[in-house]
Parts: sequence; structure tokens; C-alpha cells
Amino acid sequence: MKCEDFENQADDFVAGHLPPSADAAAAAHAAGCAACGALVIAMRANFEMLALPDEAPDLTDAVLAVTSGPSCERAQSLLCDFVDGALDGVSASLVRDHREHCTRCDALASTLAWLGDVLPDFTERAPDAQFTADVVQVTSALHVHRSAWRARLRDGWRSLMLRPRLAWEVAYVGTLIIVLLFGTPGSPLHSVPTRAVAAVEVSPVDALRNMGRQLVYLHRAIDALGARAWGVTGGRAVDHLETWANDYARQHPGMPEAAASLQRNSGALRSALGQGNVAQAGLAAGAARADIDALWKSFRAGTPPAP
Amino acid sequence: MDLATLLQRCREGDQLAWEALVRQNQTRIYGLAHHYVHDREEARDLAQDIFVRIYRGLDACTEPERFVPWTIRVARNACIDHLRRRKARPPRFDLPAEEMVTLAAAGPSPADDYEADARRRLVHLALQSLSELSREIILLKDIQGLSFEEIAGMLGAPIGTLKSRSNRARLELAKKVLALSGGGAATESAT
Repeated sequence: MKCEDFENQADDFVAGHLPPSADAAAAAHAAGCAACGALVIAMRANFEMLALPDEAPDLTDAVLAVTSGPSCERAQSLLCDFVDGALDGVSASLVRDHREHCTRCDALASTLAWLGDVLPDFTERAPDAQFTADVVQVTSALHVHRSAWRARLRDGWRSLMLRPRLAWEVAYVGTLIIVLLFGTPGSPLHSVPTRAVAAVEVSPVDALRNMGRQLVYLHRAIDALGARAWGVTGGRAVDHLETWANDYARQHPGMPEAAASLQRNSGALRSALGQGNVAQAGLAAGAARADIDALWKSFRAGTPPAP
Repeated sequence: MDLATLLQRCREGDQLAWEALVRQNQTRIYGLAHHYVHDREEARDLAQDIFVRIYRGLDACTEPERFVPWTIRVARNACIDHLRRRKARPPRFDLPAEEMVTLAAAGPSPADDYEADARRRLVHLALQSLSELSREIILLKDIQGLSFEEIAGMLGAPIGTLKSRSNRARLELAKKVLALSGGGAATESAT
């Protein structure tokens, strides 16, 4: 190899980029040539001086320490949403970048994701085989107890209602309540009877006169109301009623006669009973019963009246 | 049989329907009671008491879709009543929380393998070290799966407050789990 050829590929030789055969030839030339050997030594010195260090110092932490502070706290506040996939794209990308450079946050994110898979397994835990039977036994006892309690309540209420002296007992309880309400010294209604009596005692005559006047007014008002109602609707109602009765009698032959006979015989029965004439009353009752039969037959035989 | 029919039959006094309803919900109710009292026998008695309350109040729950939240509400009230009574009359031996959890988890569990049991114990231990409010929010939201609206109705707190409180509680739990597991709970489990 000539020196010129060696100089042309000296850069690659020093950098170690030559193929093995060319590298061996260059090494042999540098070993045999003092000038080229000195060149190699000088180039290697320059190369080492200019080369970047294998591990660049991480300036990020130092810069953060003197500016905004460590970003782990912010990253950890977003980790849950990051694991749940609830972060927006930019935030998720930032958290992902942070994880690549922070082992602690990366481990936390991995643990959070792992817990998300593990925790639902804690939902259920099997009790022993006898558990269901015990629960059913306890609750069925409750069921029977509840049913028995309801039945006892129902029976008690029924027997209470069927007591022969219920009216007396209710009256007694009512009286007791009235006495307690109006007779007990501490009751708020205690003074009501006394006031009522005092009001009447002041002028009983005036009180009675006022009451009678009020009753007269009330009676007149009812009379006027009745007359007005009869004037408005009564006449037409009576006309309709008479028309309907005539139609009904026409459709049920024998019914008016039977009704008139029933009226006569019931009057005879009433007067016989008033006089104490049992024989006459028996005859009148028999005749009235025959009239009722005739009315029923007439009703069954006739066509129903038009509405 | 759907829940609406089952509830209707229960209200009519059908004991078979009631038994089926108990079977369907016993693991959830027992699990919830166990979360509050951390003792199997105590949780069993408490769960039985909860079912008696549910039985007595069946007429109050008319909407089937509200049944699960309603039972959780009944269970929570019963658990709180029980804890208040227990506080008023403490047990003879007052054990620290760690030992109680160990005792509760050390019983025979043939169905669970060692890995699942260790994981459950770890999370259980971390849960016990949380504050009462954080633990209850995680229990209702992340374990029982209630919505924030339902929890807000139960605890009487605004939804926004509950959301931020829930995030803090989850983060607190994750930190506890990491501390207890030496930093490798999630990664070990994932592998």
C-alpha cells in the first residue's frame, strides 16, 4: 500500500469503518511507515477529543429542578386517567414520554393497570356450603313469624268487632275521651264547657229567640228554593211521569187494577191491625198477597217500557 | 330465570325463589362483609344478617336493575352498624391489621393456587393500609363496580369530589402495592 492510498482511507481506518482485509492492509502499512504511523496517532487523539461521550448527562432533571420543579407529581395526577384511556391525545402522549424516562411513574402506571385487572376478582368470596341453608332457615322462620303475627292481628280484630257489648264499650271509651279532653285540668279544651255555659247564662231568652229566628229564616229559604225548582223542572217532570205511567199501564194489562186493589187491601190491613181484629187482618193480608202476585204476573207478561 | 321474575316470586313468598336469590348473591355479599370485618366467621354472621335485612326490605326494591346497588347499600349499612357495635364493645384480643389479614388468608383454600393466593394477600394487605375513605371508595367503585352516581347517593358526596378522591385512592393503593412487593408486583404478575 502506498502512503497516498493510506491517507485516502485514514479516516475510515481510524474510525474502524474499513472492511477486514483493507483494515489489515492499512494496519500493516501504518506499522511499517513511521510517517503514516504518526498520522494515525494524531488522528486518533483528535477523534477521541471530538467524539461525543457515550452517556450524555441528563440535563432534564437539573433544568426542571431549577425551573418548574419535578414533573412526576403532575404525571401521577394523570396516571389513573391514562390507564383508563380517558386522557386526550396530547396529555396521553406527554404521560407516555414521561413514563419512558421515569421508572417510578412507569412502575406506578403498570401497577395501576394490573390493579384494574385484579381488583374485580375481590368482588366475590365464597362462603361455606351450609351458608345458603342457614340463611333460608332464618328467613323462613321470619316468614312464619310474620304470617302468624298477621293472623293473630286479624283474629283479634274480628273477635273485638263481634263482642256483644261493643257498643257499650265504645260509648264508655268515647265518654272517657270527652272527660279527658274537657275535664282534665291541664287540657287546652278544659275551659270550653264553662265558656259555653257562661254565654248562655248571660241572656238565655235572647239566645233562644235568635235561634228561633234563624230556624224560621232557614225554613223560608228552603220553601223558596223548592218552589223555584218545581217551577223550573217540576211541571215538565210530572208530565213526563204521567205519560210514562200511561204507556206502562197500556203495555201491562191488569196492572192498574191490581195496584188499586193492593192499595185498598193494604189500607184494610192497616185499619184491622189498628183495631186489633186479627181475623180481618188475616183476610186483608191474604188479599194483598194475591194483589202482589197479580202485579208480578202482569209485570212478567208485559213488554218492558220504552226508556 | 331473570332477576325481575325472581324478585317477584320472592315478594309473593316463594321460598325456592328466595333460596335461588341467596345463592346468586351470597358470594358478593359475603365478600363485601369480609372486606369490612376481615374475619371469616364474623363475615359469615354479618352476611346472614344482611340477607335478613334484604328479605325484610324486598318490597322496597321495585326496580330489578337497581337491585345490586340496593343490596350493596343495605350491606354497607349493616357493616357500618356492626363495626360501630364492635367499636363500642371491642373483642378481647385486639390484633393488628397485618396479623388479621394473615390469619384470614391463611385458611384452607384448595381452589386457589399459590400465585393467586399470594397476589390476593398482597393486595389485601395494601388495602388494609389505606385510609378508611380511600378503602371504601375502592371497595365500592373498583371492586363492586358501582357508578360514581350510585356511590355519590350512598356517601352523600359530590361526584366531582368522588372522582378525584377515587384517583387519589387508586394511586395510593398502587404505591402501597409497589412498596410491599418491592416494586415488582405488576411486572412479575404480567410474566
